[in-house]
Amino acid sequence: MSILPQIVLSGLAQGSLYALAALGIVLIFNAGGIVNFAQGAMAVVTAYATWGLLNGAHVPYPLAVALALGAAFALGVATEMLVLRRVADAPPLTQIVVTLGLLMLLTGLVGIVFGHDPRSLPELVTLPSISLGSLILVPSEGFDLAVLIVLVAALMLLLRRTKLGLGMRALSQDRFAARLAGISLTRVLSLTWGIGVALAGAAGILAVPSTTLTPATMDTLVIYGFVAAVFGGFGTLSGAIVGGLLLGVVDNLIKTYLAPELSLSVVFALLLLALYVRPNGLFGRAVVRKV
Amino acid sequence: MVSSAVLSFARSERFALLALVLAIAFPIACGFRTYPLFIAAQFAVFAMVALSLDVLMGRSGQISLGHAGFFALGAYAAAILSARFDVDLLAGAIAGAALAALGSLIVGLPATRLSGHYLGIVTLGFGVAVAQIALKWTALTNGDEGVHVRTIHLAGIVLSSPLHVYAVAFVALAAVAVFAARLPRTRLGRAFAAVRDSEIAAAAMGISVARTKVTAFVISAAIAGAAGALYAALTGFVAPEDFGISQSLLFFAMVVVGGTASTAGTLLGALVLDAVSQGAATVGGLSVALIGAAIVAVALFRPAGLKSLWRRGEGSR
Repeated sequence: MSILPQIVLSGLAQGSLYALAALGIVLIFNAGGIVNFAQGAMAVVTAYATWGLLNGAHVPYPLAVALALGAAFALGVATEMLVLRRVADAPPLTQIVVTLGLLMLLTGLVGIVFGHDPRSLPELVTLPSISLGSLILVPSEGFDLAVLIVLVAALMLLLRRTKLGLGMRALSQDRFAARLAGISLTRVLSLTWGIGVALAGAAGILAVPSTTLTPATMDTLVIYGFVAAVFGGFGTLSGAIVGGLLLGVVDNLIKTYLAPELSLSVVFALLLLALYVRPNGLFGRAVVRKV
Repeated sequence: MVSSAVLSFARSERFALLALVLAIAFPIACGFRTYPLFIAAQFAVFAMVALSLDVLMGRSGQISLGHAGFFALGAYAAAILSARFDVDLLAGAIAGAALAALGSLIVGLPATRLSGHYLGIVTLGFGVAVAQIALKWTALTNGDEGVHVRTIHLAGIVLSSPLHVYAVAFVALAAVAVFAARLPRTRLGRAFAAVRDSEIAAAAMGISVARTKVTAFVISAAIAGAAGALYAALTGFVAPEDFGISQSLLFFAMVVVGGTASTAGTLLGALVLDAVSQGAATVGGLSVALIGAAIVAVALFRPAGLKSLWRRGEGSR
């Protein structure tokens, strides 16, 4: 009996977390042209907020998750308003520097507040596994995929049906023209940051039960998120989703058939290869630079 | 023009003299005790890596968020050669530099087609991948138990006391600093600056943009690799946790806080941040938070870094 379908299925579940992380990165990048390297630290903050609400304030789990995601949204909005807005027109290096500084600041603060002992969060869904012939459906994995589908659907509705979404799409096409059309650049940007960070936070909370929570936990998740975004061709949401899912499957295949401990290195090698062959990602279009 | 050139020459001479006096006075001032000498030598090694990163970032305009990876390649090359074959530090440093330079081709070659954010992601991934391989390739690296270096000897002379290692580290730092300071006035340095400021204009002048970018990566990685070999000699022991993301970000922060494209600025940034990370190391997370706050503050309020304290008017880049 082949275990391949099982590996692909678990890979898709893991990939849905990468897709969520990648979506957050791409959403923020599209709106403001900034790659938020602090995305992982912000996911860590969200996960620790959940942990604190659960274990410190004894809030019911679903409410704790909702509150933490709200906090992540607020963190994103505040970061854009207080920090990134000031470097909106600065060279890319300065913008990278700022988000890296935030990454270190947040990681450090989490370490000071919560310490460096590993913490854990319980599974969000605790149902027995269902077997379908040789295939075993693990509910928490199905839940990861379901969350991705629901959030993507919500995001699509937001982008296609609301004024905010129209603003976000306009911003990603032409900032100047968007402003001329009367779109409030600052408002759309800060809300986009809020949504993007909340997506990273969701990925963070979902990722914790299967690993442990430390201030550095999300380093890997976010690197995978970046890789997924690059695979998909930085800047397209569908690319981020496909890239994330594909990466999850590939990663799981490497772990099973090649070398479990070197998955990150192999993924990195694939990233280099992909960038060398297609610098604009698998689905990206070539950027024509005018002189 | 002439007078300002003379002035800047005199100033850099004065700076070098001051640094020399401090480097000689320090061991006497601390009474040749082991720990202060170790900390100072470690600063010299980190400062070398920061300078190598400034050659890449400040001079050639390419970002690296994974310099601890090149540093690790050099450290492991020297440590393993010493542990297994009792190889001399000089040979170890050359091997370390060569291995790091070779590693830099992995990221440097695609880098010719990438810039900004993409390059940041690729180099970040490179640093993480090197640390992971160091952790998992136990047959070669001993995994998280690390590699213990044998007796350290340089060109046949055994470096028995901390003072010896201190002296070697600062001589090496001085050599790198002189190279980094002279670079902008060489043909290669001008090519770096041309590529950094406008790739199209550089190409129009007949500079091979791709070759220049790769050259910058190779030189920068080789220096970081040699510094890694010194680090192995200094600590006598290398393990994967010394070369993680946080170490890469520390090097990055040294350059940014000190001021890119400035040798003196990078040295100052290295001194300040090394002091912060040593001083606050006992409280978990504090040093990282402080350095992060420093980076954000510098980016927001003094994008040119600490060097703008004495070089006004150059802060606009």
